[in-house]
Amino acid sequence: MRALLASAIDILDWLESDATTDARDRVDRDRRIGKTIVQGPRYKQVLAWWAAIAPPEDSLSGERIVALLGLSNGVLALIGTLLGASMAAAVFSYQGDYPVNLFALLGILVGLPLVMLAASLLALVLPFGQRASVFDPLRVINPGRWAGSWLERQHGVSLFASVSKRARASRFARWQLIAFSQTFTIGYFAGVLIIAFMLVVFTDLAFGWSTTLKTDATVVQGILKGIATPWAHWMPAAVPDETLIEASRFYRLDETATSSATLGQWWSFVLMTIMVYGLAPRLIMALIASWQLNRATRRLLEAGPEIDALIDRLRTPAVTFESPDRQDAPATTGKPPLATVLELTDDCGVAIWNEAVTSEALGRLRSGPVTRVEFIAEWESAQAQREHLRALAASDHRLVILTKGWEPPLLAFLDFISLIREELGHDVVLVVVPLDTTRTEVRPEDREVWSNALARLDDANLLVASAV
Amino acid sequence: MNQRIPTFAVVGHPNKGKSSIVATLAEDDEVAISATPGTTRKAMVHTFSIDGEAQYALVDTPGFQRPGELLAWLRSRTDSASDRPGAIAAFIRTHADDPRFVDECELLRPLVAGAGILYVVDGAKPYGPEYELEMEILQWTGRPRMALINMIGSGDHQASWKRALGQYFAIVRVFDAMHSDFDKRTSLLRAFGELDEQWRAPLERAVVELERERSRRRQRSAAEIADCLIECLTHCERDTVADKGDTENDKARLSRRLLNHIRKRERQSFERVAGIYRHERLARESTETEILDADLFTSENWEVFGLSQSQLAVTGALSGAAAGGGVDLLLGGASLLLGAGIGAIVGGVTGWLGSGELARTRVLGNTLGGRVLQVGPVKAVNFPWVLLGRAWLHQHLVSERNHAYRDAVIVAVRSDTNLMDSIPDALRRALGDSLRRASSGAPDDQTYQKLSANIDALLGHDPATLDHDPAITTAD
Repeated sequence: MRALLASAIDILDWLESDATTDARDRVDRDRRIGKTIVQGPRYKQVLAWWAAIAPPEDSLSGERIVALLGLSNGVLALIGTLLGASMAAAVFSYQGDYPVNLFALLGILVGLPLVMLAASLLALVLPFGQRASVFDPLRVINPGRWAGSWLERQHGVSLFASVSKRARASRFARWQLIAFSQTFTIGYFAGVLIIAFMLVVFTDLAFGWSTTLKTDATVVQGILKGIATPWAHWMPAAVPDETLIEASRFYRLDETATSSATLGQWWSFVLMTIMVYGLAPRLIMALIASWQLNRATRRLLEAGPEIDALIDRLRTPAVTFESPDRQDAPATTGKPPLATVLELTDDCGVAIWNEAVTSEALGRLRSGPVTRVEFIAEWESAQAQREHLRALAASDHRLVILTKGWEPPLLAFLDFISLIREELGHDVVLVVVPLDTTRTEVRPEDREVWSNALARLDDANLLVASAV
Repeated sequence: MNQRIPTFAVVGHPNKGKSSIVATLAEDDEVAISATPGTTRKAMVHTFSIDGEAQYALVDTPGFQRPGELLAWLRSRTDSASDRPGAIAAFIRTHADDPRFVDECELLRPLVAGAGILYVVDGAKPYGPEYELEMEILQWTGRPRMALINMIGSGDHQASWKRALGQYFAIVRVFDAMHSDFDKRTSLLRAFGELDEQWRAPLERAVVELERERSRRRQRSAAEIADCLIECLTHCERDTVADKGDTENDKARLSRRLLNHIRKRERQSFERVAGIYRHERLARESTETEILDADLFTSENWEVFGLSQSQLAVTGALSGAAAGGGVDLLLGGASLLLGAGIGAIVGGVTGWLGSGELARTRVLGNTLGGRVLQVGPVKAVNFPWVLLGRAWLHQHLVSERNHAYRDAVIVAVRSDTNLMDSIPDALRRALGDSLRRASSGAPDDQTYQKLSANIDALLGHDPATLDHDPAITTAD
């Protein structure tokens, strides 16, 4: 499970940084890997993918965090053992005057941890919303919490806010806390048992029970036999009989004492009680926590947007558009022609390019008629275009060219300008007027397109005019 | 270029939206789109593949620049209709190195290689006779062809365009490259299949896979939004602050930090959702998430090892009781549990009073604790709904947005607007339950999965039905 957790931490971290990889590269890479992975649980697919990715080890932190978790476990077990040993030394303390009080001993060593365990279990089974009220008081004395805080403060490993920086990892965090607690408590009971066993072997212990209440020994026997039920049929020596129970009752004012040998017979019952009601539940809980922690670790690799997206890339056909290398927009070259305002006079020639405007509409552009007008079109031959230009040659040294402003100037139009220069010379001032008959005025961006295109000609006698 | 797959050359006059159509159909926001004519100077092949297997290709081509001269050349070569495709091929061979016809060669080459024709015009601008040159040249190629009337501006000259195009093209469709939704895009792809029987199957497969991909994208968006919501609803800012510092100032600082974290996470989520829809370069404008101080849970504690002052006192009391209890045991109960009682009191009081000193104790260069101020999580009841509403709106805008459209997405929802009025009650209740669990402070993977599933269901609804509400901006 350590390896799984280390992988989970590394995978989730790596996936987060992988978000900067080009989306298409990710799709290609993961689909290629996905085709080599057999179907199975999601986490196994993720692990198989991880094995195929094989990132450099030195970039990963999972092992370090897992090692810190291991260290925390060890420290908790040690502290638990020392605490258990201290508690046992105190509780089993027998000076020879009064026997060790069985009820106090079992209450402190076994009863209290059992209550804590019951509270933990209650918190686990409580419906959502009521857990916090049970868990919050437990947090105070939860060794797992101490370990988590220590890790965060001393090593910067934010284990519980999340092992993987994800709020939804709380299932993992909860079971890690419980696992830590079990480690601590198992250490505690180990300490208790070691000391208890040593005291039993190397000292003379005497156990007894006492009560102010007028309680019949049979009641106590019933309770103790009930406690001993789990081992009664295979270890009868560890079940106290009525005689022993009766003989073990003591009164502090009563000087008549039962022999120490008799009172020492309790040791097997005491040790079995600690093992069965103290250690065994914690071992079982530790196993459950380990199993659940393993599941929670697996689930870190089964749910979440990054994991969903990864599984998607692994399992579903890669839908891609292979696009070619990019091409940037061409840079504008040359000096943009000067802008002017259209003035149509009687003696200026007008060339209407590609039927940019009708004769009637042309009339609206000026107060009087324009006498020299030629309709010239892209679909005409160069010879036909030349003849139109010759018809305009007698006019003033100024030629107005009306064009469709919403259409971009093609190279065919620039060819036409060159043709004008061939026919009419370079002294003629050419005024290009992009019109927009669908609007009152040509759009500024369209006029800019025309200006930029005509700039390529680098013609000082070429102007761009606007007409309203 | 693999001509065994259906290939479509997108051709036409410069600046009529050829690249926009390619960008939209190829879902590629890197395709250069510009008002400057001649932006596309080389034929660019965009191949749609499923698992590396090419299904069809789109070729973005330069526009016609000298169609008159080209057509004149073709006419001079042959009078026979059967020789016209050959004349086109001959033109390319003859002018392969002619700088005057670079664009024409680039756009005709894929047609000679077997591509179908998608002829693009701008239906918002008037029809002109100069277009007949281009249409006639395309007719000469003999290739299957479809005309697409793209709507770039606000004008409407569709009728005249349809009359003209109908004479040269078997299929004429109106397709708005900027605003067509997913269904229109797939419908157009299916229409490509009508040009040639052999192209129908691969195009249908492409459409089916695109529809599946769209469904997966919605699920992944829901997962991302769920993850973001869980983080934003549970996040809090904590800091160790000075013993006698300005608490209000510290609170304000942490509140700002919390708000910044939430905004940053929301932006990150928006970017990720945009990435799912392949909008890698999407500009975004968004109103800021509003969080008032009153919406924040705030607490202030002394903490040592992560334990608050009261927790430390309880721990001290328990420890004292245990120690005192040990003394009681040593005395065989003769102390009447006074040891445990006194121990508990001493331990508790020490824990309470001594927490400050203990917190300041330095071990290995670090203090054991300090006065810890925590701000957050946000407790405002409508906060999850506002976040969810914004995420829903953003996902909707992004998923319906075409890759030719380069303006910023605007996400603006007023915090007092309830987008959820339009969804079924059952879904609203399920979302409410999921959000409540997500806000619990300890959401787990099941919470995430349920929330994700419910958000997926939500994303299946259309917030645009609330377009009339002035508090919501869905237009971009």
